[in-house]
Amino acid sequence: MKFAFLILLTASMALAVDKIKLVSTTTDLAWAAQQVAGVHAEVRSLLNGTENPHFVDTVPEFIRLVGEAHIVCLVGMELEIGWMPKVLSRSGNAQVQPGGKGYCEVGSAVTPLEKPTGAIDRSMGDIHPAGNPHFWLSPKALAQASTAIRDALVRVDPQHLADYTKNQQALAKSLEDLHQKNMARLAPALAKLKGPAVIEYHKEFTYFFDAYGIKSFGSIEEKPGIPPSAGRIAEIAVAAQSAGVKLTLAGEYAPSKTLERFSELSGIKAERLATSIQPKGKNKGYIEFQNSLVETVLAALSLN
Amino acid sequence: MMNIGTRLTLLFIVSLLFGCSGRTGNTATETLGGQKYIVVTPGDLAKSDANLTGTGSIVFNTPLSETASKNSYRLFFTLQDGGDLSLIANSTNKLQSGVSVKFSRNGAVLKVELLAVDKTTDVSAQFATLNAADKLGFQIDVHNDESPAHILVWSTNTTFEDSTALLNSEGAGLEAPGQGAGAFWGVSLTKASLTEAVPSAAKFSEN
Amino acid sequence: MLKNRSLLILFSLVCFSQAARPEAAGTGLQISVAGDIVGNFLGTADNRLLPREGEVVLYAPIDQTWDGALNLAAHNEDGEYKFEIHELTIGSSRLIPRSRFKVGQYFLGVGRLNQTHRHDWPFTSAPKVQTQFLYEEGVNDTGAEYSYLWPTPFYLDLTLGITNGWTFGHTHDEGKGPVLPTHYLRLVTYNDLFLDGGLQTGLNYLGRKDSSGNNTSLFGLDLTAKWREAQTLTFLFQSELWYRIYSPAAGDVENTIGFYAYPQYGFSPSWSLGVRVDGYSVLNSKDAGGNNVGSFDYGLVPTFSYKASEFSTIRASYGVKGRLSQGAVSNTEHFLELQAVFILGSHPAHDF
Repeated sequence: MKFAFLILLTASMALAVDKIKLVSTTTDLAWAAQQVAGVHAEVRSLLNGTENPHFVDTVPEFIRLVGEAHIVCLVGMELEIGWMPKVLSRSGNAQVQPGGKGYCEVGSAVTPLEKPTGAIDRSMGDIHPAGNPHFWLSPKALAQASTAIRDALVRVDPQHLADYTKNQQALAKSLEDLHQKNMARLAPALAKLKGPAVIEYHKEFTYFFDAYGIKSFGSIEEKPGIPPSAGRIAEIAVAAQSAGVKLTLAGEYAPSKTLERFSELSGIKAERLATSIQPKGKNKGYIEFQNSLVETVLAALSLN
Repeated sequence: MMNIGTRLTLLFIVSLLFGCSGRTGNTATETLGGQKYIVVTPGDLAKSDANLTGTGSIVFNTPLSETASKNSYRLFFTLQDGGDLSLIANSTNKLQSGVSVKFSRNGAVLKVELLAVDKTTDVSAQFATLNAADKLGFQIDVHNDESPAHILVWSTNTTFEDSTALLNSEGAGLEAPGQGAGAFWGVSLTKASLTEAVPSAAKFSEN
Repeated sequence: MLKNRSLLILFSLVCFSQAARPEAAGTGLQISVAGDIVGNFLGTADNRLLPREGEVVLYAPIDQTWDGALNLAAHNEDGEYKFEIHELTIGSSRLIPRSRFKVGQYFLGVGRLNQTHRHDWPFTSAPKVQTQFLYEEGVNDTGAEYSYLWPTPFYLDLTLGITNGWTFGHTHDEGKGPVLPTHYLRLVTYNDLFLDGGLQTGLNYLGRKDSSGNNTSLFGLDLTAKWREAQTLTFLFQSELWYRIYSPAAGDVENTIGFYAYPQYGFSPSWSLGVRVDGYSVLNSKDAGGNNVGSFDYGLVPTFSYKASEFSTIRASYGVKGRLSQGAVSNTEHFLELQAVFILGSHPAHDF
C-alpha cells in the first residue's frame, strides 16, 4: 500500500511542471531572481537570512529542493564551498550541477573587490582567492549578478527571453535608482567627516561601503574568519577611537561579547545587523534592507 | 570506581535486555584452578582442582565474550609419550566447530598442529627447539575476529610481541585453516596432564 | 614494501605533474591531505603518541559524465606505515536523474561512522559496536552502489549496494569467494526540529554469507541531530543502534546488540564538550550448561575538542569501560586519548 502511494506520488510530481523552479542559496539572490523571473518561476532560498553562509551544514532538505530545481543560483567565490558541492552532487540533478544549463554562479558576473594578490595560504585566515564574496550588499554589484540569473533563465527557458531581459533591465534600473537615492542621503553626512566613518567586525560590508563611498577603518578581525585575540581587540579599539570612527557594523552572528568589549574600550557604538534579507524579519525585500542599512549609518553619523 | 547509582542503572539495563539469569540447563560443579567446567568426553580423566590427568575432554563453563572475539589462554601441561593435548577455542559447548592448537609427543619430538573445519596446518617446525618430554607452558592468543583465525603462541616467560612469538599464524605456510564458530573453549587430553588453563584478554594487539 | 614504495612514487608523480603543468589547473582536480595523530594512555594502552593515519584524497570530474576519486591511506601496521588504497571509484551524479552511483572500492554506504572518515568523527576512537560489527576503520570492499533521491515532499534517499564479499573489514588476506556476497541498503530521511534544528534518520541493513557458510545479518538505526548558530555547532546528537544475527554454518546462532550515543555541546565555534555512552551485549549468551548468562559491556567517554578552524582539531578524551555480568563489574579499564587532526589542501564538503 505504501509502495503504491510512493509510485503515485512520484508520477504526479513528475507531471506537475509549469513554472521554472529556481533555488538560490541566499535570500538576496532569491529576491533578485524573483524580480528577473517574474511570473515564470517559483523561487526559493535554501537559507533564511539568519545563517552565516560560510558555515552551513549539508542539510538533507536542501538536497531535496535542489533535486527538483531547474536552476540553482549560488553566490560562488567559494562562499558556499563547504556545503553546496555535496548538495549538488547528492541531488542527482545533472541540469543544476557545474556545467549544466541550470547552474548559475552569479559571482562570476560581479567585479570583485579585495581579490588577493601574491601567494595565499590558510595561515592568513579564511581567504577567498576570487575576492570578497559579500557583494550583494551593494546594489550595483547585485545588478551585475542579476545578469547571470537572467542568462540562466534564458538557457533553461529561452521562450521567455524577452521577459527576462526586460525584467533584468528594470531591476538594474531600480537598483541604480536606490543607489542614487541613498547616495544623496548619505553624502552630506559623509562630507563632514575627515577620517573613516566605520569599522566592521568581519569584512562583509566592503561592497556596501564601496557603493556609497563610506571610508572603512578595516575590521576587528585581524585575519578573516579568525576570532580576534584580546590583544587585537584592545589594539584596534584604541586605533579606531583615535581615527574618529563613529560606528561598528557587524553581522547578527558576530560574537556579542567581542563587540561589547570593543565598544567598552573604544567608546564606539556597535550595531549587529542582518547581512541578508530575512523574509520572516522586518526587512522582507532588498529595498527595505538597503534602506535600513543606510539609516543605521546615518543615525550613527548624525549623533556624532 | 563506579558509584552505586551507575551500577544500579547498568543492572537495570541488563535486566531489561535479557531478564535475570535463568537456570535452564546443567550446572558445572567441577573446577580446575577455580574455573568451573563440564566434562564433554569422560574417558579416564582423574580430576582435581590442581590438575586434570588422563584421556578425555572438558569445556569451561564461562563462555567467551562472543564468537568473533580475541582471547588468550595460559596452559601448563605434560605429555606422556604418544600423548597429546589440544586447546579448542571458539567452539560449541560440545567442543565442535572450534579452532584448535594440538600438541602431540613422539619421544622428545613435539608436533604442533592448527586445526579448523576439518583441515590441519602443521606448524611443528616453529617448536623444534622444545623437548616434548619437559613440562610445557604456553601463552596462546586466538584472534577469532579475523578470518582465518590469527593464532600466536609464546613461551610463558617472554613479552608478548609478534616478534617474540614461537608461532605467528600470519607467517607464510603457517595459516590457521579456518575460524571457530562458537563462544566456548576447552581442552582435550590423550595421556596428558593439565595443571593450568587460564583465559584472559588477548596479549597481542595489532595497531 | 615494493607496493608501498610504488604508491609513494605514484603519488609524488601526480603531485609533481600537477605543479609542473599549469594547464592541469583546469581539470578540477582537488587534492586533500588529512593527518591523524593519536596517543593512548593508561590501562592496557601503549602509552605513546603515534600517527594513526595519513590520508590523501584526489577527486575530480573525469569528463562531462563521470567523476573519479582515489583515497590512499597509511596506518601503523606492526611499526611500519604502508600506503594502501582505501577507495578508488568511478561514478556519476549526472547520468541517471535523481540518482548517483559508483563502482570500485569504497566504504560501504551504511551507518554513520562507517561512511565517515575517522579523522572527521566527533570523537577519537570507535565505540565497541563499530569495532565488532563494522571494524575500527569501517568496512570497505569493491562493488557497486546506487542511490536514489525519491521525489517526495520530504527528503527520502535510498542506497543499495553489492560488493565482492571475499573479505569483511580490514585485512591483508585476499579472502575467499563467499556463498552470498555482501549486500546492503540504507534508507534515510530528514525532519526539521524545534529551534531551527534538524534530524537525519537512517535505517540500515547489511548481509553476507562467507565462504564457510557463516551468515551475518546486520540491522541498524542511525540518528544525527544538529542545532547550529552561525559558526557554532551548538548541539550535536549522534547515535547508532545495531543488531546482529550471526548464524555460523555449524554452531549456535548468536544475537548481539550494540549502540553508542554521543551528545555534544558547543560553547563557541572552537570549543565543545561531548560524552559518548557505549553499550554492547550478546543477548542469548549461555554458559556451557545451557544456562542464560547475561553480560553488558559499557563505555563512558567524555570528549573535549578544540577547533582553531574547520581544518584542525585537538581533542582529549578520558573514559572508562568495563563489563557488567551477573551483578559483578569486571574488565574495568580507564583510558586517556589525545588526538590531533589536520587537513591540508581542498576539504571535501561535509555531509549533514
